[in-house]
Amino acid sequence: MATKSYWQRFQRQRISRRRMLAVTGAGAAGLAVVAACGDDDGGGGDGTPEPTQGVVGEPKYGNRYQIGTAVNVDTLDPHISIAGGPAYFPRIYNVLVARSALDAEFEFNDLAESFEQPDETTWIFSIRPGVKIAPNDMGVPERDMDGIDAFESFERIKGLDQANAAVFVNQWFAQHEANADGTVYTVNTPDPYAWFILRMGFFINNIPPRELIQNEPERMRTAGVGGGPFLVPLGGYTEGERLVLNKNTNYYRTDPNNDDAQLPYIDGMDVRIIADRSALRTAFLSEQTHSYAAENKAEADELLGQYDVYQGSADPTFTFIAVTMNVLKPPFDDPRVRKAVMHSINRQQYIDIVYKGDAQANGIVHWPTGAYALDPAELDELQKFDPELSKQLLTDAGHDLPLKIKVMFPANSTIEEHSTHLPIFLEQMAAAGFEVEQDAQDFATWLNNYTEKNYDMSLALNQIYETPEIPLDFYHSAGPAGDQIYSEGMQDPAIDAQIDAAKIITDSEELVSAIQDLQRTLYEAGPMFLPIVSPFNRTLYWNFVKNIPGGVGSAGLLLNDWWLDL
Amino acid sequence: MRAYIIRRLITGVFILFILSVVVFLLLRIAPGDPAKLRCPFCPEDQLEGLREEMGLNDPYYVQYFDWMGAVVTGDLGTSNFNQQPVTDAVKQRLPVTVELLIITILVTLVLGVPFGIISALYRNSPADFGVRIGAVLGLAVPNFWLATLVLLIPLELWGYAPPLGRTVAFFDNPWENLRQFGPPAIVLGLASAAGIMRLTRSSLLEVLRTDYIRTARSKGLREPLVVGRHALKNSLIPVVTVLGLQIAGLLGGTVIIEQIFALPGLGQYLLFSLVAKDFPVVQTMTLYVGVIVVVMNLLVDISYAWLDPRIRYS
Amino acid sequence: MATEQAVGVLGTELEQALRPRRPLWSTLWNISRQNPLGVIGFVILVVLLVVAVFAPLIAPYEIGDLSAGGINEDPSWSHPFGTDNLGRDMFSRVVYGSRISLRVGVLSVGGGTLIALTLGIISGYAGGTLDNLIQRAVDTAIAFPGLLLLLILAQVLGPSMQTVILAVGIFIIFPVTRVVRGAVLSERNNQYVEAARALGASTPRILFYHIAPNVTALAIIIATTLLGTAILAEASLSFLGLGIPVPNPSWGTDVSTARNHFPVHVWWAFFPGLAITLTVLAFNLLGDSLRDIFDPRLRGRL
Repeated sequence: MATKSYWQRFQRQRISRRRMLAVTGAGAAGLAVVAACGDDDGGGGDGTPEPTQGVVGEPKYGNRYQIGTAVNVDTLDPHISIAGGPAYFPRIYNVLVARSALDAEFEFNDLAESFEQPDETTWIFSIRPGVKIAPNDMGVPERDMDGIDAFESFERIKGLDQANAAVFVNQWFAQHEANADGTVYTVNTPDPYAWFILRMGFFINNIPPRELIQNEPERMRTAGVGGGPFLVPLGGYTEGERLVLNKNTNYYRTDPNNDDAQLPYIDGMDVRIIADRSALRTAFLSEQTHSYAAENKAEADELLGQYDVYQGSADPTFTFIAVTMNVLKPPFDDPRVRKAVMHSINRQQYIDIVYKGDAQANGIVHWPTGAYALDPAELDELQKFDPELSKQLLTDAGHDLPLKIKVMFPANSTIEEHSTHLPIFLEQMAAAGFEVEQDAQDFATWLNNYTEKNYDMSLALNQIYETPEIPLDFYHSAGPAGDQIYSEGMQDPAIDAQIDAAKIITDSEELVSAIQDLQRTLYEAGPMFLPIVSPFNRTLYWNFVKNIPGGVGSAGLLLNDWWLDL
Repeated sequence: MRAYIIRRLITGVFILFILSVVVFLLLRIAPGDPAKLRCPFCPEDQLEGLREEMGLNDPYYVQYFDWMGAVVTGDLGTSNFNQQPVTDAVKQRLPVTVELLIITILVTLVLGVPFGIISALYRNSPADFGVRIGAVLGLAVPNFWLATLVLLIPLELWGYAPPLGRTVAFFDNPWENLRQFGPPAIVLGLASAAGIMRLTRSSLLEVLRTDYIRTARSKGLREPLVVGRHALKNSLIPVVTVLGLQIAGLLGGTVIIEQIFALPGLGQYLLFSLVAKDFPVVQTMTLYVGVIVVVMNLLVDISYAWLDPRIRYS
Repeated sequence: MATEQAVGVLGTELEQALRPRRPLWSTLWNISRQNPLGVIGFVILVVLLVVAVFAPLIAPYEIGDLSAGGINEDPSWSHPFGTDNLGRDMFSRVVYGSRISLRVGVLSVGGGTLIALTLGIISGYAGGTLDNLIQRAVDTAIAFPGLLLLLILAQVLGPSMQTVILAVGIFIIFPVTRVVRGAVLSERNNQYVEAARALGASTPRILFYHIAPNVTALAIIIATTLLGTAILAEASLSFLGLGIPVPNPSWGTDVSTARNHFPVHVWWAFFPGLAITLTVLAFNLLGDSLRDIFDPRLRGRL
């Protein structure tokens, strides 16, 4: 049911002009493991369906929402957090505009009430009046946020090496400025850029008040206030333990479905950082926390049967385990060997065993990105599961069977996906003529080896990529970060050019077909980055949690019209 | 007495010194680049700058003395994970671990000593046999397994779980606090209680066989008096020694127990930092754990001296 | 009296226990009757050893066999311990897991004890600076939480079987060294050693012929109990995700994975945990009994 409506939405996307969708995703593969080892990012979480069972009754003010998460927050500085932070930034600060990666109809104009594009490289954002900063103990005046704040914020990112969006801003901001009264903010890009508006809405581009940036930005590490629906007061963040978000009584949004009642309804949120997944589950089942991201449908169904809880919308998640091969070293410098690996993967087995049927096969571009992914039937043909073909390819490449290969992976039992995927991977590789030497590494070592290309093959969980851009950038010689750190791609100038060319297409139909063609080229060349499968999100809520937003992916974090009927 | 304590103190400082050197060196030879973990997006020249800033390029002895200098002046450096002062984290987490440890020691004594005495006094009775079986089991059960069962069986039966992931100070709300610390302390203390039980039993049995107890009995003293006044104090000397040795083990156990019961203490912090290769935190936490052990052992030594006058005067 | 001392208490006890006046089986019967718990431990260990050696014959499925059964099945005749979240047969995994536990236990304790014997004998017999140095190292190691240093070592060396064996082995060395040294000290001052020395026996000869045999018996007794400790240490490391990496069927790892599915799938976590408990229990029982038989003075001290 959820799947069907999901594919229906894809159909809409194909013809929609606004199909450039946004969301988080800081980029590189490695961090995924830090950031994704517990994907219950709280509140509206990564999606939830259309209206859920939770929607009943009249909105009610008061109560605090209790969240448990396994992800430790490294810092609340919205520009440099690489772990945990982005799930809270849209609660505290504003972005200019945001779009959903799942729902093309979803538009969220936040600090900018609108934007226009007089030409393909100029973006003019009209700043919304009345985005008022919360009463706070950080000495920031209760004024309206404006274009000057946006300017200062992107200016900071530009000069901050550690900023997650530094590569984006330095590459795509030719010039930017705010007018004198701060009502308009303008950005010029050097070229047309397909993903511009999406990336502006990522939660690594949140805009804090300039007072915070100017005096002691260090304070943003542990507290934060801006024009968002909540604020973190001084002392509200206790490292590794908790995060307290209080309601912004000045918040600009109201609920159109309830006589324009002032939002948010709840008084605040208490986030507990619980590193252990079993404890996280226990905290939810004993009602100490209000939501829980089940590991898969089977677990969700079991809990639904036993407890008085309901499931949010089953949206696709953008995470996946991927196989990466090092094209710089034998044997994977040979496209036939890479193709042999490709044909050895039986994605259906992962879907059945790991996700109990609640997932879909990924191609080079993972399926949750929608129309950019190739049609399932075509994928089945291009990357078909055929161990005999794998063996044939290996023999053609002049190898004796079985071919010995070494696979590194981060060994850490707290990341479920690794322990569930690895046994299947090993079995399938063995059946296709490979003899796998397992190279378990701790996360830091793995990251080191990965970025230094010191491996033959790697199997690891990836960052959340809500657009096809980054998976394709893995094939570019410059890699996804533009500096060859995460990948040296296929080392093929023609492919590099094709990837670059796709980035500057602004017509959505053309963009879709360019990205699809690009994938066909890559399949021909023997792909070195193979996403396996992506599942659906199964987040559970206690029945008193009402009106949780769903169907819009992490853009749901922007919505605050839910309440607690306690 | 004073000379004795000073001697123990010097030994303690020496132990801490060795420990700091060992941990420091181990972490330097560990694979992985802390600079890269701190800034995975940075290109090589910026990473080099970070390494410089984090002092990773200095010779080991310079790094070691920098660290020691900072530790002595009370500045424990900043965490690589979030650039927060380690001192803040310690301030907030130390009380959790120390409280867990104290309650665990209480559990150990309350369970271990009385059952040990019962077992010795009613030797070869069904009670003795039961206690001994319990002790052997207590030593064999993996605490992570037991903790799992203790946390989750009440959840299954009554939907009950102790408060997870946050702590309430004992003096703010003693009941809530004990609800949280009780179960983990019992799980953690079970194995050490089993050890103490066995030791109390054998030690008491040995003392009860000695001449002076026989003399006391032959003088016609009533049995409770013999045991209570004469035998017990002497038989507790080895018990206290072993308790001192157990503290180190218990602290190791807090890493697991804090993780399972989501207690934000030092052990949990250490585990997280270890996986994140956060050198400054791991070094300093290890040293802190070392200090706790040394201090606890010192307390044990002092009580030992009180129990056994021969030590006081030697 | 002097002769008795000369043989050493251990020797005496051993001799008494195995005095050849009675047939061997009758002696064994007597020992068994006095140590029923030790016999239970011994039997469990024999079963465990058989299981480990003949694992491929006993286990109905391969450890990685994903088609062994349905997913998260409760125990049944075809899957006595149920199945896990990938449909692997838990009975087979627990059976193969015994190999990991025993290998880690035997290799780490065996290696650690050998080194400890050497160090302890040197330390006890040589005395002086060397003795001091070794003893201070032992002091430090014993005073510090072993699990913490194990974790650090495991992180430094990277996750693998060798790492766990090495790390656990290192921590076996210290307590055993201390006990061995103590025993050497008491042996050294025995009259028979002095007599041998007076007769002009060389130091290596005294160490090898007179001291080592007595001390070794003691070391073996301690090592038996430590085997349980080592197996627990491996399980704890694996439980924390820093020990034996997936997909190896370590009992500790399996308990860790299974916890996430508790309480709905009780059995999955139950059997690997039970296996750890029984194994450690068996080693403890056997160790206790050996100690009672050979050296009653040590009873309850370790």
